[in-house]
Amino acid sequence: MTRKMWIAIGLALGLSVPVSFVAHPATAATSDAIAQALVTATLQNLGLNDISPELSQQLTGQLTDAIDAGVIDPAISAQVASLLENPALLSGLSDVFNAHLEGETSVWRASDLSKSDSSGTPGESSIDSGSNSGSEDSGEDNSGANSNSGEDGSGDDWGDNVGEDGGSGDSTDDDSDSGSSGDNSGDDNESGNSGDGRDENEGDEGDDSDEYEDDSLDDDAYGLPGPVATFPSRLRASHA
Amino acid sequence: MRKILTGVLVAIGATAIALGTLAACSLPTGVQSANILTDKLPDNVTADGVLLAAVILSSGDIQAAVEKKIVSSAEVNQARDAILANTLELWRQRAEKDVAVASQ
Repeated sequence: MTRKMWIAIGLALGLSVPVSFVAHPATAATSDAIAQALVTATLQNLGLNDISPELSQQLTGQLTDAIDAGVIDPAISAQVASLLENPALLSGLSDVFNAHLEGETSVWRASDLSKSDSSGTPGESSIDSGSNSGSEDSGEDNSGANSNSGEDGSGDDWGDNVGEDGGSGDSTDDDSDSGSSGDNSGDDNESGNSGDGRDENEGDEGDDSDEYEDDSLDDDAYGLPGPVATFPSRLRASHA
Repeated sequence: MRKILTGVLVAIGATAIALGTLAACSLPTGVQSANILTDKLPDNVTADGVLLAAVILSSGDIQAAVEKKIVSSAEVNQARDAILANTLELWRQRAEKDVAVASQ
């Protein structure tokens, strides 16, 4: 009898403690606070500073669901959580966001999911003119992109991205290395020299090494704040 | 006097051309802006979904997000293109408008 009673008490405690912890308002508030800080910090990093409270609330709710679904990089969530008491320091994560953006865009570009979009969306002609030229490039760069996604495979994504967050240049180096080590070395020369698609617009018809120098000029064309302005050019460089 | 006047007119013309060219380079085209702000969006694209995709591209696993139907492929492609084309601000404006309409 005594033994059964102790077992019952143990079970009750074992269930009630985790349940009360998860349901605790402080925990829920922290999750929301992380999502809200993440929305604000990432969108500011992309040049959006004037998010209304209503839109911010809506995005926060959706991002909370994404966090719960395990879609958000736990390392980035942890970094944001550690800076919640000092939101001004969140801007210091711009390198982290840019590196992650670069990596995710590369992986997305190489994935089949990105090609399953059949929607005709507003601004399609002008916006897609860029993506179409990009897809031409991705056709040539597929071996490089695939080898990259292979290295950064879904299992390693978090570790690699976060590990390279501190030095965004590292990820660029990795990409170019993986491209040149594989079959992509020939393709690199083609995309760099032939200048088809987006390269043509950049006017980067010189050799690949010049692209990094040209980046600063390209950044100005986007008219974006520093961290954002560096992303597209670095992305192009990583695919060159 | 005539030379001075001609020089001033040429300078003004050159400045106008230069400013116009710069504006055309740095801003989205008018047609594109109007499309994002006013056109009916496809069923699988919402303006806030495009912004959410941009957030997840910066901080999460975008493929997992699509697989779990948190955002659609079309929204991710729009977010990626908007970041590259500097049109994310237009999507923000569209999202603000849609939120305001929905809350009415």
